Amino acid sequence: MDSIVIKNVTKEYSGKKVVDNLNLNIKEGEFYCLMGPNGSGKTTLSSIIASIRTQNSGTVEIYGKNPSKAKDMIGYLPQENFSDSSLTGRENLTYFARMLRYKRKEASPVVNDLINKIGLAEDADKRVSKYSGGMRKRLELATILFPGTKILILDEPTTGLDPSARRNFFGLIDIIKDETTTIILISHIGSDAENASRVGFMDDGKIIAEGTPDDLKNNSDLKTIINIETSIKNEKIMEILKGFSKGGKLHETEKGYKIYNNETEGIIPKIVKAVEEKGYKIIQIGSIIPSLEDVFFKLTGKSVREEKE
Amino acid sequence: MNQISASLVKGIKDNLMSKSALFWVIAWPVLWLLLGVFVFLRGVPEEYLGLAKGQITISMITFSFMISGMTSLAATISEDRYKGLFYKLKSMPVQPWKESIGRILAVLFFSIMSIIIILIVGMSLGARFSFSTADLFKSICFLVLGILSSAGVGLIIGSLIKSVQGAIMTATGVAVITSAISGVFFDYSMLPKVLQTFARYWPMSSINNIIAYYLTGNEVYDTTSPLNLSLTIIISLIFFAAGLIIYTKYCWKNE
Repeated sequence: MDSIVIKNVTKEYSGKKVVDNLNLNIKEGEFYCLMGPNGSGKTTLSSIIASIRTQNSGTVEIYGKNPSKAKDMIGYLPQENFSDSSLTGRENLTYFARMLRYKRKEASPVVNDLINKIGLAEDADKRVSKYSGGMRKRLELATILFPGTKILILDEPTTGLDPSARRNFFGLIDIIKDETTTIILISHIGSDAENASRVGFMDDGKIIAEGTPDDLKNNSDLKTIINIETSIKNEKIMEILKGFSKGGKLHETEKGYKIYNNETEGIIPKIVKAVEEKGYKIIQIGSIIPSLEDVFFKLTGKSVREEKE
Repeated sequence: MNQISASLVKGIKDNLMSKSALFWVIAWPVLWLLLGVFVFLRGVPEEYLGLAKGQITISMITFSFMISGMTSLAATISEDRYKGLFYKLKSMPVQPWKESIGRILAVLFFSIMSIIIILIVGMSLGARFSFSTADLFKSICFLVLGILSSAGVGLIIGSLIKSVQGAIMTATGVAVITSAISGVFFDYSMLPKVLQTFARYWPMSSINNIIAYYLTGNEVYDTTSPLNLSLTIIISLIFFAAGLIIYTKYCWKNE
């Protein structure tokens, strides 16, 4: 059974199509990840599903209902922190419980249950201003876990969290998730998207590729990637490295570059030699298994982590 | 009721946790009250002193509910918008008008709390009032009207000015400047003609004068004439209604 059906949805801002005639069906219980760079339209699409925004054309159905009529079933976790830092964790959850029309007496046991579920029992009565980023995100996750919520929309939930807190967050999601809960994850982080059962790559308002994480990687024709950490980054080094990359594609990373070439055995010494002959230093070089971010780059030539111009 | 109650409780806690709200709504009027009693009223004949102190107490009550309604409300709205709370609430089955009623009730609670404190300080400094039960009842009604009118201005500023600092500065500016030029800080008779006209139509100063008349008998103009009372009520309700409409339509719907 489909929990979400999106048909020919278009959303424009000032004449620019942010979501472009998009079609998508998500099954009940599915963990779907929309992955794409900033400005690709994924947050706009998720906000349409959550009935925060309305589309210019097309239809969205949540279990056959218009999203505005299905708000009780949808839990939306925005990217930014929205909890009140001057209140305690318990007070914040009680506020959202009452906003969801729980009576005072009904709210208390539900809030206690949620606090235990997200592992904040010891810190529930501390002010949120004293929480770490990971604790605050878990608290805010609890605001979408009230009984009756069938669709969880997580918009870049791990932004600003360290790798350990990110793993803990998805560990919590794995425990919470049951067979009937549908999850939509909005992310530009490949390792986050690996947790999903299906991933849709979104670019320029369209879904350009879709499949399980393994299918997307297997069908990408990417066997190996060479990761190079250099002492400096500039155009000259890029020109040298492009000569070694299949199709001339070069992916800039935080510490250097990635190149795509299925031959690894003999190529690494050649790269080292070519770079060092020009007077530059390679700090580290090695082959790595392709990630979903690499597959996205191969398909679009864009990095999912880059700011879109 | 649950959504109104949720918003009310959050609003009260936010105000009680905010040092700047506590300072501007309670401490600042109390300081001015002390200053007024010990500095400005020196030389006032003994027989008028009690009522003059009562007059200053009422002025500081007016200033307090103006700051509470305008600045504190505008500040919490803009802070909540900055945090993305409205974005989150829009995804939930929350009715904006219920959320806004809760906010206004929180202003009412906070204002009444500060009014009681200012009143206690004023009376302990010798403020005297002279009123009948009917006068007291009418004063309370106009006090509530003043708080609602101030809340209306706060809702408008909080909804229209996006930045937190901008909203706080604008609301404080409106409260302080209009208090100064409309006879809340100074006696109505000291104002130039043009500002006297403004003082009659600016609901907060008009309400200040109406309450002062009911509680101290000091009538600076035809304060309680049917025309003045009607105008004050209508303009106050217009501010309140405009605030509610702008907040629920603009602040929530704005993308």
